[in-house]
Amino acid sequence: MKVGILTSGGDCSGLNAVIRSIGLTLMNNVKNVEILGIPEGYGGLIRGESYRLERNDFEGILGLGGTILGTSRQPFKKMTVAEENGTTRLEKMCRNYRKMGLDCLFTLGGAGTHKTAALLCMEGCNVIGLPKTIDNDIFGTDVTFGFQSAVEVATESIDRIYTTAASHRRTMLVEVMGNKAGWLTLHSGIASGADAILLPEIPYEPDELCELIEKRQKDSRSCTIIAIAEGALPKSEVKLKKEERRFVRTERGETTGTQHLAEILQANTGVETRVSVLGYLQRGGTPCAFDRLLSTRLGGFAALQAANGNFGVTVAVNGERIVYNALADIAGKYKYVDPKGKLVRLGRLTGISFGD
Amino acid sequence: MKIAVIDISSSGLSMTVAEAGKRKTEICLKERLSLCLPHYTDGGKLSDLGIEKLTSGLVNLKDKCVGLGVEISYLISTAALRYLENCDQISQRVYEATGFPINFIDGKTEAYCDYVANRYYSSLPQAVLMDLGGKSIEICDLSKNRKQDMLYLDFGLLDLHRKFVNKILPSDEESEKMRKYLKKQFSEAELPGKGTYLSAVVVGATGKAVYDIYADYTDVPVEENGMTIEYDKFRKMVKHLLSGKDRTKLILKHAPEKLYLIVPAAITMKALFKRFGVEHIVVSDSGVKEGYLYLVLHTKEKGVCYDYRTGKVNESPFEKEETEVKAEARRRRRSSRSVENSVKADGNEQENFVSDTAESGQQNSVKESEFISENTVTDTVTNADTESEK
Repeated sequence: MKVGILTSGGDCSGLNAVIRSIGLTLMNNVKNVEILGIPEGYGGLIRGESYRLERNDFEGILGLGGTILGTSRQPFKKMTVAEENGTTRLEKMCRNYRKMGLDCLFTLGGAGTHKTAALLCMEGCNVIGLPKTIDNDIFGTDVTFGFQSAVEVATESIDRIYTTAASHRRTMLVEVMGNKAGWLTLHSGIASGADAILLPEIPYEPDELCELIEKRQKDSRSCTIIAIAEGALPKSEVKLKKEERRFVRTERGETTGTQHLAEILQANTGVETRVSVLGYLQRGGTPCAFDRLLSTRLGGFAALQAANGNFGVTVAVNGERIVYNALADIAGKYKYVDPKGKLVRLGRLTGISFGD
Repeated sequence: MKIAVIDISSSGLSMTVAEAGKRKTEICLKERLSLCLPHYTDGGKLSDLGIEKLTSGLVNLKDKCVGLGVEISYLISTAALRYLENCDQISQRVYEATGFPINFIDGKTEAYCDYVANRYYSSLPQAVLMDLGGKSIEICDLSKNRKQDMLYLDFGLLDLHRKFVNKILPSDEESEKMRKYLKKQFSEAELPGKGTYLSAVVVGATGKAVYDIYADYTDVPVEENGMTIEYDKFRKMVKHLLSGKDRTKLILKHAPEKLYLIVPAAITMKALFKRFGVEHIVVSDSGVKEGYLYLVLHTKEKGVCYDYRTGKVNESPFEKEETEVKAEARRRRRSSRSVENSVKADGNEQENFVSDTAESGQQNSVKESEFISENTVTDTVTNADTESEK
């Protein structure tokens, strides 16, 4: 059996743990297995690059951040656009899949990666997806690998920011990754005891936040911590199209709305307000124990699916169990925070403002 | 009264929630959950994981029903489950998880439901209705209104896929074999040839998905109440689905859960259009669920339902007093009116022409028109009625 592994899209903790688990499970349980690493995600497959992974390659990578295979972003929308010689990236990938003689391709990635995996699958390639993302927005799985490590980092960061905010009696806006889905902000916000959590799924009203800050001032609270997802929107921007919103922000010299909100809050409350963008800190570094275990479970389960010839699926977490979903059922779908869901309700019960 | 009809098909679960009033029934919500059942079958059985996904989807829809204040719901399934070897086990597990009993619908009833939900289209010239399912294909002549006149082919798109396609999308050679097979099957089923029908009405989720791809490919804006297909453009679209560079992206964009079915569906639709030689093709948004709803409301179908108020399974609560008694009253009113008229006409030959035979014919036609005007089950029908009133 010959299998390929690639990691695609933004990196996160746990990728190497999954690669290791797939590799070791196959090597220990399937005779004559050959494992190819495909560098830089779908980019490597488009170019037809691969190299053989040996047992030694899986040594000492369980706790290693990033991906030993390298990764790149290959937008889904460009996959079927004809390029030089009239061929598409999809055609090139299918051709190289066959040229490499693969029996199965493991694709480790987020929602976009899964969409492309579904394309490959429809064109006759045997694909198994693994849900990687710090955003936790892949449909059909309770949790993705990389998410919990990012939650740990974001939570610790907010904890640290709290002490400095309290010392200076400031309002601090901590910008957490998450453009469309606010899972990371919600989890880290609750875990760090943020006073307000702003999510893409719940548009906020700046006035509500001003009131919150003023009330906290009156109550002699030392500071206000607001965890804000990079994709959070004020109610006034909800109806704007993506391009219009981007234009407005570009005019202000911003990429997200966080800085602008900080200015509004400071101007309206008179409380010194600062922004801290956590950025790539959330992606990098060693996976937490939860993610190491989850990655190993997902990788092992995926390897067994390949050994059993169950392709066109992506592995997933359902409660305590690892299961699989048909790629067809999840491709192109996202999992968003339910504004009326349990976690948001819990947040409200504990006095967290969602700015709405 | 809020009623839901939930349908289990080979590519997912779909639900229609309607508010059934005394005078009319209006659709409040249509919901769909993808569940590509072929991925969870092992041999001829639905795997444990598949059953679990099915029940969890149904629990999800049940929760929605509770949230919407639905009072009773019917769970129906056509051939998708009926043909699975562990159908009884699935029914049991569904019942244990949700409390829902499954109403299994045979091919003729499915076709009749399609017909009832789309009888408005019988005003189209020589219209035929087609519903392409995973395990069966329903074909109804819209000029015939009896259940026994409904036709169904005992194979569906999934069977076509299994029989002819090696991977997911068919190769040119596989498509050709599929076309020849369809031609043979249509002849064996003695489907009418050219000239019998001038218009075709495509119903069902797969037909709608093919239309969405057609609309995208031809750049036609999707109009919910006027989805029409031009045969020549459709032919080109089918060709594109067989060999176009972005065919997979098109399918993935519009119907990822139907990736096994879309191309066989497009080939089958084209073969049927060609066989019938239809000139006018429309796609309807109403199908089995809406038809079934109409039939249970009018006591023409006896289903078992789940009652949210008691948490128990009941026989369909709609009794004759709801419909037939009203119809009876109407018949009586009409008959007394016709007597009055004949008295008023006093010697007018035309009015006096209401003989026993003519009267029964008249009643039939009146009954028929009531059936249509009362059929506000679907948006399409409601709008269509308004149109015709104008």
